[in-house]
Amino acid sequence: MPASTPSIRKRNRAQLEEEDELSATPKNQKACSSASSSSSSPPPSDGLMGKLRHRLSNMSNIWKDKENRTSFCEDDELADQKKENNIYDVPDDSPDERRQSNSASRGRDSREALTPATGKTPTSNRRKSKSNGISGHAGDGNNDGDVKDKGTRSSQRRKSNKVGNAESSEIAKPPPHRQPMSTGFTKATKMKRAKAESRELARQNMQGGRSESEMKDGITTETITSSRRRSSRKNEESLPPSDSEQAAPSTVGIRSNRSVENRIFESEQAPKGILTPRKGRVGRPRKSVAFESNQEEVDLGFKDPPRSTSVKKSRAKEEDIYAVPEDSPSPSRMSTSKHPMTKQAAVEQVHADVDESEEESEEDTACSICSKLNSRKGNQILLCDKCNSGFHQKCCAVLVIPEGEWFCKECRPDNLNSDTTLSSLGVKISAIEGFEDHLRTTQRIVLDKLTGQKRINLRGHDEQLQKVQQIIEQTVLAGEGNSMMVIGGRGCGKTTLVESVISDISNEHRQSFHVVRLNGFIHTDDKIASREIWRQLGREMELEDDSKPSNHADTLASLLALLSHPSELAETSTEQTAKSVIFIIDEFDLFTTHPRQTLLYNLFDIAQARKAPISVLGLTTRIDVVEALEKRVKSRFSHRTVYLSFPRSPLMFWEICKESLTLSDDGADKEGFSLSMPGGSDFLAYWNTMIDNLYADDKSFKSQVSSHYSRTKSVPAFLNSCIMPIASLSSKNFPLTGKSFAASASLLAPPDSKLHMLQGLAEVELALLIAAARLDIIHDTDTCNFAMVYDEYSSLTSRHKVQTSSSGVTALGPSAKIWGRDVALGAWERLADCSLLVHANIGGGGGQNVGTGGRMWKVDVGLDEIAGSVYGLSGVHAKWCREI
Amino acid sequence: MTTSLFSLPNEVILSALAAQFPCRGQQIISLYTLVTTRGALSRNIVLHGLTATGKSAITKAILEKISTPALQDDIANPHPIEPTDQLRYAMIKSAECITGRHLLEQTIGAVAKAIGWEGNVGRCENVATLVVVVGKMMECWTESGDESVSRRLVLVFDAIDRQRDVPTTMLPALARMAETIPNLSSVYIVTAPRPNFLHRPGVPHIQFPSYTKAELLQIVSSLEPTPRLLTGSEDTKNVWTRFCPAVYDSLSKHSGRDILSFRHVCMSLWPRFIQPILDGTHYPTPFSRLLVANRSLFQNDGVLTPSIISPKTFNVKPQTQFKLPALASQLPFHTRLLLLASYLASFNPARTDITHFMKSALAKRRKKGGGTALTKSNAGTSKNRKISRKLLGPQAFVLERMLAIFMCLRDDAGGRKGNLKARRAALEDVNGSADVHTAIATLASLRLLVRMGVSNSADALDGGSRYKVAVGWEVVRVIGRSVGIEMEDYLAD
Repeated sequence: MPASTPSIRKRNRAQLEEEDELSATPKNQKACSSASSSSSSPPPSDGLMGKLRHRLSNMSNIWKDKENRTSFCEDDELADQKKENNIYDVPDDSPDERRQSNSASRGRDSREALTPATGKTPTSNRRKSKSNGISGHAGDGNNDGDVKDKGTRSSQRRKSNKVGNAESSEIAKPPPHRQPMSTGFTKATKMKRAKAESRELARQNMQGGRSESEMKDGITTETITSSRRRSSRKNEESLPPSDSEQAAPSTVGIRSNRSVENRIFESEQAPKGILTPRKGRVGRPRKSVAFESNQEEVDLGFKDPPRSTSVKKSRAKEEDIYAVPEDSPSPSRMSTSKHPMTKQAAVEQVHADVDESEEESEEDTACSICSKLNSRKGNQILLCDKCNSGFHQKCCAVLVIPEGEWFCKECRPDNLNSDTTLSSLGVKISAIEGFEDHLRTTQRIVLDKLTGQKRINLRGHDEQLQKVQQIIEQTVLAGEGNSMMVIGGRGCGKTTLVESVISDISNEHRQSFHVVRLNGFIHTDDKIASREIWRQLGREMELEDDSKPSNHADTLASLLALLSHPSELAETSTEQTAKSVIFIIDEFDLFTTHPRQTLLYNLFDIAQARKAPISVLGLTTRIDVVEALEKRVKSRFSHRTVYLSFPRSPLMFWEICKESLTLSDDGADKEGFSLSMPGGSDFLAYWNTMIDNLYADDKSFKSQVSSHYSRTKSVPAFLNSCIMPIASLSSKNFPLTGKSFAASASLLAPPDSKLHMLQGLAEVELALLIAAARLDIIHDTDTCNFAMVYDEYSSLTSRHKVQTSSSGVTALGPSAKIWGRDVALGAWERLADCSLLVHANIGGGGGQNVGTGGRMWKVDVGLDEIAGSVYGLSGVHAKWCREI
Repeated sequence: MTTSLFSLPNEVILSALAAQFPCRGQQIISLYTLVTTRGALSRNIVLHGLTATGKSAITKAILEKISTPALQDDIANPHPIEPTDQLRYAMIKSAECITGRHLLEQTIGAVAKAIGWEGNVGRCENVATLVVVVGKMMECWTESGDESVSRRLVLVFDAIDRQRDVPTTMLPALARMAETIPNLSSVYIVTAPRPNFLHRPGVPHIQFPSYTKAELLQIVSSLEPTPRLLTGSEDTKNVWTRFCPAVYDSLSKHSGRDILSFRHVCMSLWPRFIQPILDGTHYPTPFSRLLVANRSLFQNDGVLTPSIISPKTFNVKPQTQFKLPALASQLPFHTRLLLLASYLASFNPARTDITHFMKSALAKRRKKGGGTALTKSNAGTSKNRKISRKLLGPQAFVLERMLAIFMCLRDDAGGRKGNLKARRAALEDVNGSADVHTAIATLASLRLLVRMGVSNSADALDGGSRYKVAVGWEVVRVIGRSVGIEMEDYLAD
């Protein structure tokens, strides 16, 4: 199978639903198995596969119709949310399967046809190869498509254990299936009730629950299906999607099956102590790993690590389960415990198919280092998520089972990423024509976006955009007066929003309006602001220079005249006022501090009264800005506000960030990237996939995104951290890796605190700082002056001198020396210079006259902070920090 | 403005800069990338770091290199790549501007000079005007050349955080200026950036960390010391490279760790350090012996304190000692007494005046520490360590109180040593108070007394006006002895 397919499949998962499941699912399976921690089934290229496919084609057609129907209505509801659509596929699938198996349970003829498809092929067929059986699973549709080999294998082994002979497994199989099936109808309502309380439990047993849900598949009624679908959708609104998805199917399964199963298995197997409770989830022939596969492909943002954690952990646990029985029984039992067909298939394909061998190896994975099989608690065998070979915890020095993915030494992410990025893209750099030029062009465009030279497209504020657009359009086209407040934190896109609206409108109607831009930081009072308005308007309206008014009153009066309705002032030339004016007032809150808010009053008044068509857009970070308006101003304000929020989810955050890291196909030409150049579109696809993969696969990059999200949610800050990695990119070090992002993460970042300066301080400065910080605690006052600090410093030093000399240390270094008052004062001044000391304005205005030495100061760092932030702090100073 | 392709930093320029400024490679690359038009050109850049970490020097050197690329290219290769980019820069030093408006005027002047503006610059009262004028200049400049040349102006605001007398909106406004005017970038050089001081997220910050010990030694060791050894430059180099660590460990590590101070200390100690070699008493080879011979050099911290006196003279101890009595000897007798009285009024709490200066309790006032009862009553209340009053600094006092203490001191002055002449002189002008006021005014004009409160609120010599003493304990003690008063006796502690 070409290596490029998984990544492409991954993206098109939603579309693939409608394709032929038989052909599609094994690929998907592979895709997710390479991405997730599971091993996968054999490829469809297997010869036996074709046979089975042929047999199953009728059956699959039957329920494909059903699935189409269901997914159609699902799609209707969720059409606009592309991402979540992927998530919703999950409940979408499982009901189908359930319905299908329901129909089977109703005694239709297809029951017999279905059972083989779900892994219970007649013995003759089944025995031929394991791959057949697995592709049978795959043929069951994409819900069953991803065969979690551990589940399958364990189930198979369980089966054979249970039956204890070479009898065909499907004869033995029905009991666990049919038995719950008979109770399934009666328990249906009870299960519904129990769902809520078992959800918590189910989440813990997520993995087990999933495999249980698959048994459930055969037995659940239509009513449960629908109700569950409802509830799971409800959950998705409130809970993180992945959790609820996995929880919902699992809940029922646990309740319904556990008791029955346990009874059955306990009777047939030796008691296994602490491991017994887990048995409930073992022994499913069919496994709706479609949940897993779907979710693996859906880009869930930061929810990925925890989920894969659960997978990881449960895998480790599962190893545990296998390993313990495998320790005690003889090797012969081990071989019998395996499904015969599995064995056979493995023999056939062990060289041909990597996945098959993976599956085989996981069954009884030996540590690659010590080649032992035992996996005990505390020294479990970990499976590398890339090469799937096992490692003892102790052999590779992993004390705690890592959360998320784990890679062995050979497959550490840095090696891995370059491999996967390149190989999964399926395009070699050299294959792209004019690679160097394309890279340069792309870097230029991306860097321009990162540094803010180019405006990036706004994401996720469609509603707000619409509102603002509507207001502006009304002003420009209909001549209405409007006022509106755009409120949002710094860096959430207020200016971008407004400017994109303006530029949109000016594409068509540039001639019919003027724009006046004011900024509260620059235009610090009304006089300056009104002069600026006059200047900008005059420039746009091409007024003569000699009409420039001389003072503030004149400016305001002529402005008002300019903006008043022609009917009010007959003598004003009318064609000037016919145009509407849009005032964009940045840092609006600063304008409210101007005395009497004259400018705002006038602007709002004009906007509200039917005078010239102006619209006033106030951009501010203060959410209570309306309260700061005077009463008369407030009453003229339309009270239209638009709130821009920071991205609400990590995924959203990444979407916005991705917008400026990638080039869209349609926007590329506009941005200066020529698709028509040879290799242009290839490169574009390559670049965008690379960025996608960075986020999807590269752990360090993702953790950086998530750290930005959790600290500030500020997109500009993240983009700032991306400048250096992109700028240092060349064809030599080409594919971008998360490592380069991590290395330069702090390169352009603003400092977190003042503490980083402590490292550069000299000893005396540090000693004085420590002494001052001690005084804070000792005297319980936050101010000190130089005399107090110097006194404390000298007493500390002399105490240290006495102690060291008494303990027999004769060689007193210069650290024991009490430096003179002048030197110390110089050090004190330097501390004040780098603002580690802050003025305490007590003692009247005399501060100017007494100089640094006589002033009262506050120390801006705490005593406990000092010790931690200086590398190589001398022992004496560390002691001073510790002991009061 | 035409978009030029991205290109990686010019290695030739970078390596030249790195050679010029050792141990600053990362900062050079970052800044170079951020200011070149072909790199990741940013509109606002903040450079921060402690003093003497190379912020301004490196910025200037980089911009200098970029703004004259033609010469570089001509030398490097006969065919310059593309002469498209034209970058000019203007550096505005806040230390040279006394007010905010001064800064704005300087900025406009610098911009006009940088882009060769010939018209009238005009006045600039506020940032709004600055934005308008600079925008106009930039527009003209951009239009003046042909279209293919992309022009860029970089404004460097050096030490902008030290700028005095600026409104708080100044810095954000300057940042907005770079946002609104195309082809303009601003670099802000600050010591310690306050969080989000530009009110703009995502501004690139480049940190210039302090040099580590190894870096300091590497840089300073590479310098050439001025007086060389007679035996040749090889010996000079050897001694110098061993001399620098010794200086660092004994002096610079403790105070003045930055490279300028370190270099200054090394340079000023060097001539005296090699004096024994030049004299022929020692040889360069056993360095430890040389160290021992110059031990006193490394123990004297006088070299660390900034002084306008050249290091050779201030080593003479007696002269510095003599400085303090100099003040006492220059002031007249009563003025000295007034200074002492001011000191006491500043450092003694008013409530202890009765115990110290009441005539009836003559015996009691001699007792140091004033009333014992008072200290006892306080002892129970303050569990934590008491701050010595002396350490709290001078407090403001009312003039009348000081005059009362003065009267009291005048009686005691010189009396204890039986200096009758001085005593008689003190007793003579009891009546004349005009002299006293003159003396006070003199002390205030000498800044030995500091007037508190609003300066022109009332008559400076009004009884109610408040003063503070501005001399320290050492000075006062010497002055007190010169008039025969032991100041310890009068201080409440």
